[in-house]
Amino acid sequence: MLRLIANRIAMSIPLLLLVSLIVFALEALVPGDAAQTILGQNATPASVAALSKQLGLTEPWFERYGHWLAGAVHGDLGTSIINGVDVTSSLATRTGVTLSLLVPGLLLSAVVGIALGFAAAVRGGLLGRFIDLVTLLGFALPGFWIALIMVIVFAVRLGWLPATGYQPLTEDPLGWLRSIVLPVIALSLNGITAVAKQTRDAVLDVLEADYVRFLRANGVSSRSLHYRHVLRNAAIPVVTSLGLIAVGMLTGAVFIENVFVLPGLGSLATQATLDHDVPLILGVGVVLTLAVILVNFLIDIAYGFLNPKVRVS
Amino acid sequence: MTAVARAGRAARRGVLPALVRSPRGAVTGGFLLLLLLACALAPVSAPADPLHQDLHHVLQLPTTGHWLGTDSLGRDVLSRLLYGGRSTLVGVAEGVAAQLLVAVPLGVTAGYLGGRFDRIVMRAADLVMSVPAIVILLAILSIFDRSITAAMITFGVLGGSGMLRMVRGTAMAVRRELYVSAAELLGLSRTQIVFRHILPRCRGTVIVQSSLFAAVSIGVQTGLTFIGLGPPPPAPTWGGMINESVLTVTEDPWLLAPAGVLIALTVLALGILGDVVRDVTAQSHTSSGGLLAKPVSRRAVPPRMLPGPDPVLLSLRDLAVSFRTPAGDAEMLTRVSFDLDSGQTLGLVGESGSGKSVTARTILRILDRNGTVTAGTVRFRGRDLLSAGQRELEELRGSRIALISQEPMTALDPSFRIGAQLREIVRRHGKLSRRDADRRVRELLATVELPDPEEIARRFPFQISGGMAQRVAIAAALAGSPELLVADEPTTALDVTVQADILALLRRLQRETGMAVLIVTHDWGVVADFCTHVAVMYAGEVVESAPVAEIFDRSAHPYTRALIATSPENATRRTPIRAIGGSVPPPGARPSGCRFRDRCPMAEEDCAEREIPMIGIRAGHRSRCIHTKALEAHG
Amino acid sequence: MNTTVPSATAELVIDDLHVDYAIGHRKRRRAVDGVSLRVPPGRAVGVVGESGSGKSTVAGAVLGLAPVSAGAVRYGTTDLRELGRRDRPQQIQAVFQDPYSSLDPTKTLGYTLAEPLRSHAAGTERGGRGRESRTAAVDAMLERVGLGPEAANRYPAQFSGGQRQRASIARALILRPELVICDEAVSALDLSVQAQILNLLLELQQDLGLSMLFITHDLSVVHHIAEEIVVLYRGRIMESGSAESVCRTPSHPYTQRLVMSAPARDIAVQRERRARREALTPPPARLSPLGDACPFAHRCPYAVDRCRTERPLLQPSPHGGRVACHRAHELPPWPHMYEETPAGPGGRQP
Repeated sequence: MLRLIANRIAMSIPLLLLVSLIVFALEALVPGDAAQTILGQNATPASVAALSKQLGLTEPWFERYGHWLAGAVHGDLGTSIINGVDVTSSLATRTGVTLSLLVPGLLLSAVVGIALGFAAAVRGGLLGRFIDLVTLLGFALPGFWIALIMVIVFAVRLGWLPATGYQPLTEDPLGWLRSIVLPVIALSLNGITAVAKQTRDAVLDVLEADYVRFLRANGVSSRSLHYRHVLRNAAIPVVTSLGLIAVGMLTGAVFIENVFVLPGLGSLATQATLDHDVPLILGVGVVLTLAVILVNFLIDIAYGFLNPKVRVS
Repeated sequence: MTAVARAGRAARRGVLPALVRSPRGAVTGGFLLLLLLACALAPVSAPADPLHQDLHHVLQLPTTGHWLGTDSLGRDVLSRLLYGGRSTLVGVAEGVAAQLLVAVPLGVTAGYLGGRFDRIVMRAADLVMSVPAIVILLAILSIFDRSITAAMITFGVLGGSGMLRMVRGTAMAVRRELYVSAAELLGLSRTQIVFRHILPRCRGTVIVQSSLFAAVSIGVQTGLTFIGLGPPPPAPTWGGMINESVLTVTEDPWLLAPAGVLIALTVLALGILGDVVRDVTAQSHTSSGGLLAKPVSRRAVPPRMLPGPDPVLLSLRDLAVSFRTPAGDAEMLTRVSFDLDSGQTLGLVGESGSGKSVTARTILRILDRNGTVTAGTVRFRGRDLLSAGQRELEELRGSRIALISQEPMTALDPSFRIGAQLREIVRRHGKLSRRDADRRVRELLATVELPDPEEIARRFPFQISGGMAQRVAIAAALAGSPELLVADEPTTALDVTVQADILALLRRLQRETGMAVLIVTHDWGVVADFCTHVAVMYAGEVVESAPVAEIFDRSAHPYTRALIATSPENATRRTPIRAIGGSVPPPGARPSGCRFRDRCPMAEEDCAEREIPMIGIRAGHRSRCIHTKALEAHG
Repeated sequence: MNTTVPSATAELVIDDLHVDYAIGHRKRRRAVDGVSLRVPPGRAVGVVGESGSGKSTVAGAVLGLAPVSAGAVRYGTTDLRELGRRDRPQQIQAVFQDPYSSLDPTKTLGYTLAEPLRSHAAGTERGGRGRESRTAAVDAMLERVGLGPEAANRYPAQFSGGQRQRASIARALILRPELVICDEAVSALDLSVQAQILNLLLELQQDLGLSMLFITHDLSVVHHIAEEIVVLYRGRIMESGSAESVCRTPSHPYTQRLVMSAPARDIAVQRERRARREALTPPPARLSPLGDACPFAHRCPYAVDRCRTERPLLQPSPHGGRVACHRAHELPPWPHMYEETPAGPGGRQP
């Protein structure tokens, strides 16, 4: 157990380095540079050169990486090349928005997905078929499309919830809740589907296990079998799959933030991409990678709790 | 036919024919093929120029001229979909190709070689798996100026760790198969082994993972074009079309539909295709097979018998059980009848495929989901177990009939301590406080002669040996003081010295409690050691039943005689054993009349003419053979 | 086709073999602890033991599938310990336990059998050069193991367990080996099929003059097929000798326990075996650590202090073989159980 956690911590540093290094190296490998892009195709070579020097782009990329890294360790992620704003501070205001989507989204995916998958496997019959159908739809329909449909139905036609915008939790808790309901549902749909499918397969596997047969034959009730033994054992593979689902959810969050015009990291990164603002993209990358590390860390703890083989060895 | 031609045919025999044969596979595959062709041939197949604007006919609903209507600039939606599909499908193909190029060679090599190379590759894969792919994608799109190709290739590589893991897992499993060891001993090189024996087995995994990944990449590709990071307008893209429809969504929500539905259908088709390939490549039955199975039901329900004065403990009459398999229904048991009374030990003997374990499971109603009782009765003290409700069954199980099974190491839930599991069972059988229940658990563990009950109760099932695990399982079965213990090959998985210990324990417990035991076994030694009565099964039927001494000394069925004689113990050393030719016929290949007649040295023509009934030989001795007189004369 | 009968010329020598497996971090488990045995040309030697005895590891060491930490493994003059894959002598082949994983499910039997002939120099030599002679060799071999040439076009899934095991034997023999290692080759088979396969193996061994190392947990099987027997327990040799003497007059208390534990297929004999076993069963005790002790001391009815402090070495046994027991010469006489089985060798035939 301790080894598992130590392992995860040991892997988080190379992970951060890997993400930032990929971005830096890519930028350096590509012909043309940011200065040209900022000034446009008609800029004079002299002005491009001047801007390049001003931005520090004339140094070799690994030296710049070194500088960036030195700053990053102290929490300074550089400045945007478009408007010179401090990256760390613009991230700070937007991280809360994205976390407001991700945390409830992941929880919803886990809880609803496990419930649906479990019911589909144990009940079978009509309910099982229905759940199969729902999960199939959730798998097939793109999240951003569902989001648009929900906006039309619940915001435009019915007017129950706001179509766009975000209220910070600290200022207006109810407003915050109203502003995230639709985005969170749209975001978690694919996650729910994935968890439900995993759970369904895992539960069916466990139901066929020798020990379920043995305990059933010796008088353990169906109720206890299902909710104590089957659920517990089926949860092990499901929990391990949550890490991957969380990574996929980050991609979904970028699309969803665009639909609902939420001022989160996703829309920031999209704009930065259109602006070729690499420091800003890098900053978003660092924050999102930290989020993934944290999620994996929690999953490891849950895994160790569920699986006695890890706990006792 | 030459060996090489044979080899060629072997290589051709693949996933595709099986895929086309399954209805789901044919439909989804057909749809994808059609889509692919329509998009590839868009200049021909599209009814209009995707960029041609017609401001007089904007935002039209479907008409005969515009099958899917027009957009806000009057462009034909169907044409835009077909042209837009090209960039989507090409992007997906690039992603899948990149993934295959990276993940398959690495996965196969890591799985086959193992060792340090494997550890390094898996470490790297773990690392890549945690990279938030979207960040890298955005960086790529920023640096390569919105090149979807670059983005999708990157996505393919980053998403490759899933494929890599699966391929490596498959390669590793195949590597452990004995035919790979045999190929190495025959002098084949590693390259030959990888290409001839490992890669073909990974094919199913690769196809499944590719189609799943293709489904995911469609979501990502359309998402990226949706937020405007793809080819700039007016070039048509599926995501872009959805984005454009947002502006006019309040006046005309129709425009959301065509692209959205097409994306959904494509993703769905890829997902289902993956499932179908998984089903046709997996040899074991899959989860969807379980859902198709009927619950245990009965075609003929005889009236429920009232318990008469002291009815026999267990009585099976004409029991028949079918299993639903991908190849159709298979009748595993036919006309199985026998009785077992208190204090007796009945050995249910037979080879694999005889139906002896199915019989034992049917008694406890713990058949697999695809098993169905089609006829017959199982009475326990006169109560019909086959029509008993869930509640009644739960009350009977453990307290009146209990089970110990073949694989002691998997008979207990690995997630709970032994003490906790036993406590749960103990408390089912009587209202006990936690402390009293724990005391009872320690008593039970001591009863089965485990040296340190306290210590064993604290352990998890994977922390004890097979012999200990079987003792714990026996303790669990004894918790409710059952009248009948069903023991399904209880010693088959154990070493011979441990088997003797367990048999001695069962014998002692039976002497002390007076319970009846139904023991399923293939070992005549276990029968000789432990049983008072024997029922011999062959190909789903009971062919002979008698007291144990009768079976060994005066068997009245040729199969029983041959099976007892076919042991190496009964032959002179290093000379041929008197073997029975052939093997037990599987359901569906059983001969008419006597099922043993193909292998029987005494078979006559009349053996094939009709179903052979059980014929009484002596008191308590019955045989399903019409030539018993000849057999007795024979010896 | 080449019709000369191949006959083994070399001897398999295993000398003071040690095999260690790594378990987890830095810990190692000794699977085989100083095992020595020989398989002279044309002889059948059996290795019998329970799980954890190291019997399959011994086979693995010969086949290059287990890491040899110390000791010698030679076939004739060839050292088998650190051979590259391509250099392993084709004179040694194997038949494994599981008939289901022993054959590639994606290849026909014909392909599986022709493959070694095609891809190896030795194959060209032995099976002939052309496609025709290869097919002839494959068909002849299928015939030899009782499958018939039409089996060549079929896939493993179309065969029963016994037929697959016949196919595995055919593959092992296709390169005309001199020594065949049978690792639990009949253990997964049904009773009636097991007898067929034992008969086939015996016939092939005698007709082709093969040497055979037969690994099994089943005393009655090894007694039937082997000329000499080695009994392993927890990685060490307990006893060795002729099959007759080891099974009928076992000199080691562990071998005796093995014989008493295997239930006889005769009610009266089994009653006697059981009574004797119960009389000779000491109360359960913790597994004694290996090292300087007899590995069986914790279960031995005759154990004395010396058995727990001093490792017994193999010494000549009272019945002509070799035995690793300090008290081998003080044990009470053994009541020849194998002979007394009325249905047994020399006894009543049903």
